[in-house]
Amino acid sequence: MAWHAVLGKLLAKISPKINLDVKNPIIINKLNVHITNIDNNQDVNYDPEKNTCNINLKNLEQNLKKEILSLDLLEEERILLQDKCKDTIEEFRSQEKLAETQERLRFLDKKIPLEDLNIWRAALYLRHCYTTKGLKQKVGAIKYQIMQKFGDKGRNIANLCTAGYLEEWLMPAYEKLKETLADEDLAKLEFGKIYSNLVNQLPFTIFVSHVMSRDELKKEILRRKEFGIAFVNIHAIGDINVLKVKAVTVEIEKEREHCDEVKKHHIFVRIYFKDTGETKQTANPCETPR
Amino acid sequence: MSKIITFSESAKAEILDSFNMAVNLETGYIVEKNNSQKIVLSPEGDPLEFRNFAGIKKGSLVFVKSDITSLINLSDTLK
Repeated sequence: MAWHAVLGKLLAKISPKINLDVKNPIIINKLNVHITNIDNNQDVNYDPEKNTCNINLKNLEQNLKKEILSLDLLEEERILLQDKCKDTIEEFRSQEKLAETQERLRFLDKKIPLEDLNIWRAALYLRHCYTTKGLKQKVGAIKYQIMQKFGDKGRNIANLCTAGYLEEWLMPAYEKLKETLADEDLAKLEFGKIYSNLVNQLPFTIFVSHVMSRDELKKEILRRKEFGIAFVNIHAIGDINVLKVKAVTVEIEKEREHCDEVKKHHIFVRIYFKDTGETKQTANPCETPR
Repeated sequence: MSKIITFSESAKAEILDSFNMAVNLETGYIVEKNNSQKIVLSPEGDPLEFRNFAGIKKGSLVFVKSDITSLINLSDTLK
């Protein structure tokens, strides 16, 4: 029996109470179906407002349960998906349809390795959750999943994206290269090198995490100085991390041997190194990242 | 978008059971009911834990993981 017919048979049990032609496959196929397994006294009900048929496996007869959860369910391109995952896909799709997301993805396409594109797509969705009321609770889990799947590079891209480096550093850097080199292929090649260095090494950026100690933070700052760059941006979110940055920057400022200046911006700190080959001007291709 | 039949957290175990899958209670991984040594893999090749089980689609049987990259991959296959 086709799956819509099984569903129709199930709904026939309540059809006298609902206004639904349970024998019409077109109507049955248009129904939303949601499956639960909870303690109540219903096996099936129909919500006309949401055009949804709710099936409770707990109270379903064994043979009907077998027919509902059969391979036929997966025919005709049907997919069985947990409700919260469907919500995530719908949110992801609507976020990806936004003009600004499209513009970012068009920029990244063919300029970065193909395998990095999905990391950026996930990172852009992460940032969307971070800035959208009602989705913030997803941020921790999504960031963990990106890190788990893509390791340090995933963590770096997630952090860079959230801090605005795509729009405020990578995109302007590419435009500058295009302008300077006057050759798009060459600009793409050079951009690829800068991009790779940025996402793999974070040469002028440190994202302070809760597991990073003060000593580790100081070591990371001084390691950046060895790169010969003019400054390092330090980003920290949360009271404990902000206090950590404050303590270490005070220490470095007091020592006077490493840095010229510490600029404390709204949510990040920039340390200008002493005696590096670069000047503030040339080593400062981006303005103030978020 | 393809037709999606949704299920709640409460129905996960029943659904897996109906598709001849079980959970190894020691490891938390989803395994074949008839061969508890055979761990189910996601389309990305990751061993699938019960807590990360997102759903099933056809293609013999494809068990989807709930992490964001798996859901992006699934989204790309949906019409």
